[in-house]
Amino acid sequence: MAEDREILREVWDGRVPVCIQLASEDHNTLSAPDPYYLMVPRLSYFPLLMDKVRKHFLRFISPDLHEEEMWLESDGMPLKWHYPVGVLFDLHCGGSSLPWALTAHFSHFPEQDLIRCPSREVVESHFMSSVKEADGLKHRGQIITNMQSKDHKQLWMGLCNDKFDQFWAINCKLMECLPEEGFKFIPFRIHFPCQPSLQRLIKPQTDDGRKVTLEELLQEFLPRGNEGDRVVIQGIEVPRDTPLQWMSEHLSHPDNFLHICHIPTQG
Amino acid sequence: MACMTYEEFVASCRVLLQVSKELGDSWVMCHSASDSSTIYLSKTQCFKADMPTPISELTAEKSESPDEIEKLIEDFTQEPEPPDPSSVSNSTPGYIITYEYHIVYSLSHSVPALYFNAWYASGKLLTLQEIWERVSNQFCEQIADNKWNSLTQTEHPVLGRPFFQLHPCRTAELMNIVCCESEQTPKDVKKYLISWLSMFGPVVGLEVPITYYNK
Repeated sequence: MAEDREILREVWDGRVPVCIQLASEDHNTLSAPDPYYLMVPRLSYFPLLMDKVRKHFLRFISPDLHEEEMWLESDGMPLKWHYPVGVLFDLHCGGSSLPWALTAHFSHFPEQDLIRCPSREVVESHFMSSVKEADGLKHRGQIITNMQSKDHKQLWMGLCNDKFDQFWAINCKLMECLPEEGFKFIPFRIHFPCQPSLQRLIKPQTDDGRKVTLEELLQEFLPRGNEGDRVVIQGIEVPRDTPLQWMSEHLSHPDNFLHICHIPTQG
Repeated sequence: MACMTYEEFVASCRVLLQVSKELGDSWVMCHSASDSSTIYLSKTQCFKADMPTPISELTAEKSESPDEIEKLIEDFTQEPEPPDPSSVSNSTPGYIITYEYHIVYSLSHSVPALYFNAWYASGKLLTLQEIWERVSNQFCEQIADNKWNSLTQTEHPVLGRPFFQLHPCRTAELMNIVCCESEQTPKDVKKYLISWLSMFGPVVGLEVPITYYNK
């Protein structure tokens, strides 16, 4: 059970500043519209935050694009909205120059790269399916399956409405385990800037009861990493000797996965 | 619960491939570009729109000659008007849709999962709405009642690209029932994938011929 509430709160409150411009090919006005600035929660998903941005830009685009889906790009890379904002920020910006400069598009949807997101239901469905996956790894899916659908709804609404207590009242059940055993497996994904992310199985403890650390996970699944590569979780470089079980309970995203960003050295 | 390990999945894939080869079916094994130990199975099939029978079966009885098939494909390649999501698909007969099916292992649920993409001859992918509308009659009620938890677009775990997926979260439960009824032990790796596929494939047009069981 996650016990360090202060850390959970700190993680929950993480925000990143973004500046969104309209793609030049999409505006039908002589001068570019003003960019839209906003602070976005690290733990949320872009489609949940873009209603105002979309509305702002609609005035500047040709009417035949009004029904099109808006998608975001960071320095030439379409943003996979189905990963949390913070993961995308750590992968594509990392805070090197703030605010994070994004471009909004209404045409040429990259259907080979991005999942379509015509409604919030798509995000909810994706989120719940990730939570189920994570519980499949942690408890063979027993906790999430035995929850009522109103609990599922509360998790989702807690995230949507930025209500920490509402979310954690349910999420703490998904974090339950016997202290001497930990989860069955740690739900994690390793993300890279330009290649598919990686999912593998890892237990939080060795057979003789020793706690498995981040260092061991990286050695097992990223053996060819270079000296200067950065490994970022929730915007921080976590000490490599941190136990995975602790990380899973405190640094996971609301989808209950630990999202680990592997950022190679420049050049 | 009838789960399987990744090693059992691989073994089961080899059995399915062998049977597919013997029956002249077209399953192939694919490897992840970054990690050759990660495999999945793939099969491509063309459908005449609003007709559940695959083209290969339509032509199989007459002739196997590729010329015939090509001609048939040519006949069907005419694109419909830009698809109108509100229209019923039987108003636009005479074009083909290509389905690419993948059988991928779900690490999270320890079961196989069915992924697929479908596109028109122009290369344009079908939307989720179009995919839901094309679910065969027999299953459309089940899917419609719970569509956001049963069939959605998601990221392919190996390729990292958007694919449609039949959700695997209840698979172990269902397979448990199948295994019990057929007095098959859950660990009967050989039949697992074929039983599973015959249950999930037909939902999205992928029929498993009965001959798969006789082998």
